Amino acid sequence: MHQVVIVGSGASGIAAALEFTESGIKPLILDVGYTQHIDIPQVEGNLYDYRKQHDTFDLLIGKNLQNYTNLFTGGSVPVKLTSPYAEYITHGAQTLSPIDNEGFYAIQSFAKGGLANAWGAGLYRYNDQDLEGFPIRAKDLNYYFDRLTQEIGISGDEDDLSPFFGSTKSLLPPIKLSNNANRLYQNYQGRKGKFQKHGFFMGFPRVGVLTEDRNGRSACDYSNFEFWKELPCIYTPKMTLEKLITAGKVDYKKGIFVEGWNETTEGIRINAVTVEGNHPIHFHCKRLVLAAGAINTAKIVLNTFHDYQTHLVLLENPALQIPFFLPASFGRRLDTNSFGLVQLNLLWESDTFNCLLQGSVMETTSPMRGVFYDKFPLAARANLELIKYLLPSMLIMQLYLPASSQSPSRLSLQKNGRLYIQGEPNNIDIRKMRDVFQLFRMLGAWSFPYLVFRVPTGQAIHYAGTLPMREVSGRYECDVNGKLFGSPNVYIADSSTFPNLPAKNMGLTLMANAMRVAKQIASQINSAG
Amino acid sequence: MDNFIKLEAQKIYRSLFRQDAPEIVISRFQGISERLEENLSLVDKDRYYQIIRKVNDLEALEIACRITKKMPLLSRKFHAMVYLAETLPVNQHYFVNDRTNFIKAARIVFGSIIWTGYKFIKGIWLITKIKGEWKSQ
Repeated sequence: MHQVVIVGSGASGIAAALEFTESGIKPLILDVGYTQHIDIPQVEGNLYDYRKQHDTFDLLIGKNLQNYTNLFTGGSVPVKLTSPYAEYITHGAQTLSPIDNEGFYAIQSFAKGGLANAWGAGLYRYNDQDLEGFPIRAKDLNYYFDRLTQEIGISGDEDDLSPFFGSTKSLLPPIKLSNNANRLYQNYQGRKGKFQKHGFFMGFPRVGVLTEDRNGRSACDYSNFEFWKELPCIYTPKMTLEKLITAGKVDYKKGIFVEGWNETTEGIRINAVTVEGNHPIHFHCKRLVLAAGAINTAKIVLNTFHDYQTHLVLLENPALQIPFFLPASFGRRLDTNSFGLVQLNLLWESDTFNCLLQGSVMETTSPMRGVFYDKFPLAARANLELIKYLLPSMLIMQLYLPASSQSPSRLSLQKNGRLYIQGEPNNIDIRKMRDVFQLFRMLGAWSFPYLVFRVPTGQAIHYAGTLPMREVSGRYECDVNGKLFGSPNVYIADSSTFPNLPAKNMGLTLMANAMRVAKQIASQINSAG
Repeated sequence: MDNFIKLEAQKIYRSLFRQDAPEIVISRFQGISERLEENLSLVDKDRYYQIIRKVNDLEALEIACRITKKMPLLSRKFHAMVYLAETLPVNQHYFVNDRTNFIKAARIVFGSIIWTGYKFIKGIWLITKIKGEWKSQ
């Protein structure tokens, strides 16, 4: 009989595990736990130097033609997930937990460390404004934010975004900006009063990327390999998991797919199957912590109650991708020594949308250049010329809106065991973006409405809200401490419990909340002796 | 190797890079091409390869088809070939500008727009010609 079992090894599961170990409890983590299973070329140095000397078919496209996923299916899976290196992250998802989608393109992970293996590592503190509708306040999370900042190594700066992003305590220096991002930022600095009058604020992102060597991990070397291999400078929860396993502070059992539980007076019996062979297997514990992600945690709960009727709410941030062209950078050589993920953040207190929007301004240097080939409207050879001469003067902004900007999706379990998710198409009114285009023109960057790409619902991969926490909880809801209604020893530690999803990336907050939930459970266990 | 695919690979590669495709690109293109054609009926596939065989200027045909939303398979094959070509060290200079030169970039981008206009008109003429030939058969 284990004291605590955690299901899932993603960001929330590992944050909960970390807190349990701090409280002297050794949890058992149950996980499918897929790891890298294909031979990826071992690469060093800089991506563009490497490309000049090596055939990069295996690295960039892959023996299984992973990078052709979108071309073969006509889909728009985030480019990072189509890299051969990232194949293991979504491996087996459709077999283990098939989903019938209607207007919702779900991306799931059963990898060790979960979807965070492919995250952009944007790690932001929710403040009280972000936590509107939650039964907790920022002060309940601040202690955990501080601890996570130490554990992860988050870079950022004291700048105009600090009022939104919170304390700068323990932050590492910010990442070095690319030429394009630096130009944008300098232009903002020169006229910031005017921008702020319109509700626009720009600054450095808070990212889990080391800018200094730390705890055996080396700092960002601006090699552009972000999409193509695991970089020690980019934090993933898997790093903490490996550390806890090595220190013997957690028991980790992989190859286990949890389906549900039975709760009795003696404790909880977890019903699972082995991934190899599909054999039933059971585990027993006093307290069960579900952290399998908003979709799969909901599935485990619905399956436990054999509920094929209920349609749970599933929240996601609607998102837009907006490419920008910087005329002043036109003709410049490609900036081959840059950080390939988020360079700058933009926050927009929008009167048009009546909410706060968050933009992440990214460089285009990490993906294959060919990814952009069909984004240009000219003839084939001319598009190649644009890739070479125009693309180096472009940036892309991913703009997130709060989940409340559109109708939520609905998730239910079917009798055949498959999930069914019905989503609304991303129908953000592009005309409302006029202010953003005007602002960027003032910054020296140009874009046009017809270039804006609406990220299909489900592919922003910010899922939440299936089992929301409430001051007074009801069926398929949790209490303030993550305890599932009607199940006195079952707790939810992942983003399922978020009743709202502001535009700000939820990664750090879901980890802090998981630690808060774990702390409450640990206190109960320890006080019971 | 299927001669049609080989011919197609050569034509697409020449359209993009003005030179013959290396053997490694052709052999890799075969598997990719088959995957791209998976949902094509035999009749459509036969018709597609008839067009590929007949038309020499696939770049013109492709831009006209893309704009008029015809034969999306051809555009996908061009895109697939761009990916393949990018993985070869010898092609890096097609994708990466390593010298800052505003005048050259402006000249090339302006030229690319003119080039596209010319290719589009030619492509429309090719589509009309192919349609005419099929009607007369």
